[in-house]
Amino acid sequence: MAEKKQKVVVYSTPTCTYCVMAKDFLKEHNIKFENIDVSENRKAAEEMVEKSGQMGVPVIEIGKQIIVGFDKEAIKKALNIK
Amino acid sequence: MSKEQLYDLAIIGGGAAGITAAIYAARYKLKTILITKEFGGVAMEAHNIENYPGFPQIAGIDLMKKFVDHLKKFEVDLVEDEVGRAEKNDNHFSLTTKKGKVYNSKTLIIAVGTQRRKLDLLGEEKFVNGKGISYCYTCDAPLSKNKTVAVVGGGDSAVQAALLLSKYATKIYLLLRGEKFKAEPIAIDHLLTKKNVEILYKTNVVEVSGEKFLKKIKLNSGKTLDIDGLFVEIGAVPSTFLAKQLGVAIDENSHVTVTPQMETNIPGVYAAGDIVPRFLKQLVVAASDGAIAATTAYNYLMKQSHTAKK
Ligand SMILES: Cc1cc2nc3c(=O)[nH]c(=O)nc-3n(C[C@H](O)[C@H](O)[C@H](O)COP(=O)(O)OP(=O)(O)OC[C@H]3O[C@@H](n4cnc5c(N)ncnc54)[C@H](O)[C@@H]3O)c2cc1C
Repeated sequence: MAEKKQKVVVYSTPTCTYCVMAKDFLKEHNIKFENIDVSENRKAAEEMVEKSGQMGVPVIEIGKQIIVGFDKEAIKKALNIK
Repeated sequence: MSKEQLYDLAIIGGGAAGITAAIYAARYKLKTILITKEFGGVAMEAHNIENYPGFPQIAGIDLMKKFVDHLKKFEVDLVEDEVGRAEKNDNHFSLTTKKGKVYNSKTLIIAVGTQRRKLDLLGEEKFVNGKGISYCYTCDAPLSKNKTVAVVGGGDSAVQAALLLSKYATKIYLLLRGEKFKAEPIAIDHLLTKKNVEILYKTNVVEVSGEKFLKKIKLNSGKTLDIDGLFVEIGAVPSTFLAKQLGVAIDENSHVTVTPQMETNIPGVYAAGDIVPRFLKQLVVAASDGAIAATTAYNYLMKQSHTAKK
C-alpha cells in the first residue's frame, strides 16, 4: 500500500459518528494520525475554523490538504489508498 | 460483478430495516443484495440509545455496528453505493447506482429511510455545512462549549439535542412551535432539571442572519436572539424518489403506502422502516418491518416458482 509520509490530523468531537467512521477508516488502512478533540481544545477549534472556513466536524488534514466531513473518496485520493 | 446476475431480492438502504430484512432473507436462502449509501442508517447519529431491548444503554454507532456484524455472518452481497434509478422491466427490477452499476432483481425492498426536514427560511443555505446551522446535533453539539445556542423542535430529537447541549453550551434556547412537547416524558423530566435551558413555547424562527457565520435569529414574537449555533430538529421526510420512479403509491404525508405485510401497490415491491407510515419511528419498529418485508418477499417468490412449475 502506498502510504505517504504526510501528517494526518483529525479534528473531531467525541459524539460525532462521522468522526468515528473517519478514524476507523484510517485505522483500517494503517494510517497514523493525530486526533484533536475540538470540544476540549478551544485553540485547536479556532484553528480548525480558520483552516476549513467552517465549524463542522470531522475535518481531516492530510499534508496541506483540508477535507471537510468523512469524504471517503477524497481521503483515499489524498492518501493514495486504492 | 456481472450485470446479468439476477437476484431474488434487492434491498435498498442499510439501516435497521434493510439490515434486518437482509438477515431474514439470507436465512430464507434468497439470493440477496443490499445496496446502501452507508451501513447503519440514521441511528448511527443517536448518541445514546436506551430503548432497544437487550441493550440497556448503547451509542447508536455501536448498536448499528452490531447490526452490521450480525449481517456479515450471512451470505448477502453488500454494496456501498447510492441507487439513483429504479425501473421495472418485464420480469424483474433494475437498479442503477451512482457508480454506474446496474443490479437486477426479482423483488425489491425499499428501506431508504428519511431526510432531515429543513426550516425553509431564506438564507438558511448560507449557514449550513458548518456555518452555524446544524441538522446533526451529535455531530456539532460538543463544539458549543461556552456558547449560546438554540434548538428548534419539540420531539425526541430536539429534547435529546438540548440535553446533550446542556453539557457544553452556556445557554440553550429550546424553541417549540406549539405549547407541548412530543417527546418521551422521562427525557422531558430530565430536561426540565437543566438550568441552562430556557424553553420558549409557540415560537418560530422567521429570520436567520450573520456575515460568515450565523449570529442572530429573529422570532415570530419580534424578539431577536444572539446565538452562535442553531440546531434544527424538526423531523424528517421520507425519501420517496425511487418509489415514485416505480409507480409506488405515496400517501399525503409522503410515506410509502403498505399493507400489514409491507406490500406496496406494485407486486414484488415492498417497503420497510421510516419510509412507511408509522405511529412510532424507532429501531424496533424498523427492524420488525424489515423482517416482515423479507418474509413477504420470500412467500411471493415461493408462490411464483410454484406457479412456474405447474
Ligand atoms: C438523532 C437520532 C436519534 C434516534 N434515537 C433513537 C433511539 O434512541 N431509539 C430508537 O429506537 N430509535 C431512534 N432513532 C430513530 C431510528 O434511528 C430510526 O427509526 C431508524 O434508523 C429507521 O431505520 P430505517 O432502516 O428505516 O432508515 P435509516 O436508518 O434512515 O436507513 C436508511 C438507509 O438507506 C440509505 N439510503 C438512502 N437513500 C439511498 C439510496 N438512494 N441508495 C442507497 N441507499 C440509500 C441511507 O444511507 C441509510 O443507510 C433516532 C434517530 C435519530 C436521527
